[in-house]
Amino acid sequence: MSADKLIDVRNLNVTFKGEEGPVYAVSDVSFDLAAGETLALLGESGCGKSVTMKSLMRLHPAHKTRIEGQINIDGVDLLSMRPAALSAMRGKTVSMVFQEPMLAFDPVYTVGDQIIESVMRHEGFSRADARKRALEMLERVRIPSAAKRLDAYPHEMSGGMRQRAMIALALACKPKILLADEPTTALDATVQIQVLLLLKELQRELGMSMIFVTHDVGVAIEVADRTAVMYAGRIIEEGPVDDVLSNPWHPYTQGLLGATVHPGMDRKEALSAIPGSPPQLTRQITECAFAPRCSYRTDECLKPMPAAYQADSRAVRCIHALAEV
Amino acid sequence: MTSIISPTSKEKFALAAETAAVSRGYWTTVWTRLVRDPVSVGCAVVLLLMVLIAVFAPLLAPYDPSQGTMLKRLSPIGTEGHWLGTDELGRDMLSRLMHGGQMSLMMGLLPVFIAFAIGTSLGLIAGFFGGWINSLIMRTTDVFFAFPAVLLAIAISGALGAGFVNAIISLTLVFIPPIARVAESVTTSVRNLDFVEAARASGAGNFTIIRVHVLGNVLGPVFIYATSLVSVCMILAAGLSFLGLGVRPPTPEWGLMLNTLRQSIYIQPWISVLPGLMIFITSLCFNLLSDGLRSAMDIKR
Repeated sequence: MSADKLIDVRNLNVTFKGEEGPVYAVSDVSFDLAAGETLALLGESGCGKSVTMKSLMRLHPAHKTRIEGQINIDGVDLLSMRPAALSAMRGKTVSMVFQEPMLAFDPVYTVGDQIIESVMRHEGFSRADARKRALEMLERVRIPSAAKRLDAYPHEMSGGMRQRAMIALALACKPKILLADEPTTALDATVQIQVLLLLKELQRELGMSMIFVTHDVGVAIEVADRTAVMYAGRIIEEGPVDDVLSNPWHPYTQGLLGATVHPGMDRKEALSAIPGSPPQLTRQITECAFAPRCSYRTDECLKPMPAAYQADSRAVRCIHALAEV
Repeated sequence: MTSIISPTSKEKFALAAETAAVSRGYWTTVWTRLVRDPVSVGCAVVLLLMVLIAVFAPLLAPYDPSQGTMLKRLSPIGTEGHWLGTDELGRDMLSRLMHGGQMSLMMGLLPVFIAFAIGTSLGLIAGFFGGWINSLIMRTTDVFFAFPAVLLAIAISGALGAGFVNAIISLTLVFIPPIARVAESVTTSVRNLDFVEAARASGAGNFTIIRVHVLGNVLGPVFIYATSLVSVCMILAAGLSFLGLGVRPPTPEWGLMLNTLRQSIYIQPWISVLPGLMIFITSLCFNLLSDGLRSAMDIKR
């Protein structure tokens, strides 16, 4: 694989060993990420977005999860890494911002202590130097009176401020890649846009790559260069965000856009819902997973899926889209 | 674009006001809340007094606790020179109660303290690693739950033989399983919280996560539970001494005093009751203090 790819994922399969048999959470997912690029993983709840993200840091409990395929991060094979190397990589090369800033901070320590812990761990700083870095980071994410906030407990902050602090923690060791798992979902609409713009700006300043998980089409358009749409544990469409969302090829992406308010839509047009619900992932699905809900369905759709169709830096997994283009 | 990100002057004002009100540490808040509760403060003062009196008993006590005169046996409460009367061997009750506090308090606190250290570690390991490690530790402690606490303490004490150290050992063994069980259940619930995953995502290893994040959140609830065990432990210790399995006479100890004064209950009922009263007050204070601590630490997050 080319050297300029910071993340290169090939044929990733993640299976959870559930008590009632395996759950095929992620199947045959491949994508890559160049330096400085932002990829939005778009999809509804339970489609495997977060599972894919957590696999990139190997955060799933090892004894309950089977990860197959290839994950290369910054040229290193993630799946063969030893635990010590793995924890040295987490937070240093790759960092993560969680969805719920309230739950992602330990309630019994101050925000500053938690940033300091991470900086001391990765940068080998003394406590005093780590504190300076933590303060610098809190200022950088524009937390007012940062010096006081350093000694505040998570419950003493508002939601938006906590998420800023979370970003400060994630960026404290200047990671190359930031994984943002729905970082704005738990926030008010007004705070959402502030946090989004802040993330974009910091990304530019630090020259990071970013993977942004969201179910919000508007957010994806706002932050991403490219987008990958996920459904039932697989990527069904991928490409530059503007192309994919202005001219979706896959029926699911079309349905997703039809169901959301987005710029450029006809005001008189009613929002349409996709009929049915996503399939259970307790069975290994080889055919098109969207077929049961798809209005273009033919008998061909129930046969095993062919490989993704690629054109103009876009990719789509639908035999009809393939015929159309 | 920058105008959206940087807070407006109005926001800045609101944020500054918010900032002024915060930044008191967790333990400072707990302390303030505890001090505001009159019951907790009262109990803490009583317990502190008991400890001070017990520690300084040799200086404070008017008489030698093991010296008595047969002539003054079982003097009633209020006798000149012996304000709390004398016991069946004519020893001054006040002095004996003061000295007895040393042994009684020690036997109430020490086993719980040791069991707290061991039980928390066991529960933490069992809860964090789960699987067969959990089964091994928790099923072993389950064996102890098959017996009532009193019976278990008596059985272990009886097997080890009478004496202060053996009584401490048997009481410690009695309290390890319940503490381990509480620690395990709290650990299990903490282990799956987001911040543990977040800590792992920022590069913390198992050891750091257990030591910093799990222990930090488990210690509080287990500590509250342990303080509530002190009173049980005092009563069990008194029971052991009463049965002759704890401290030996003539060492003053409240449970033992209760035993030796038992035959005098028809002659001087009030004197016989005194050591029991001490045990009652102390264990009540520990219980109420533990309750107060629990509500003080229960800060809405």
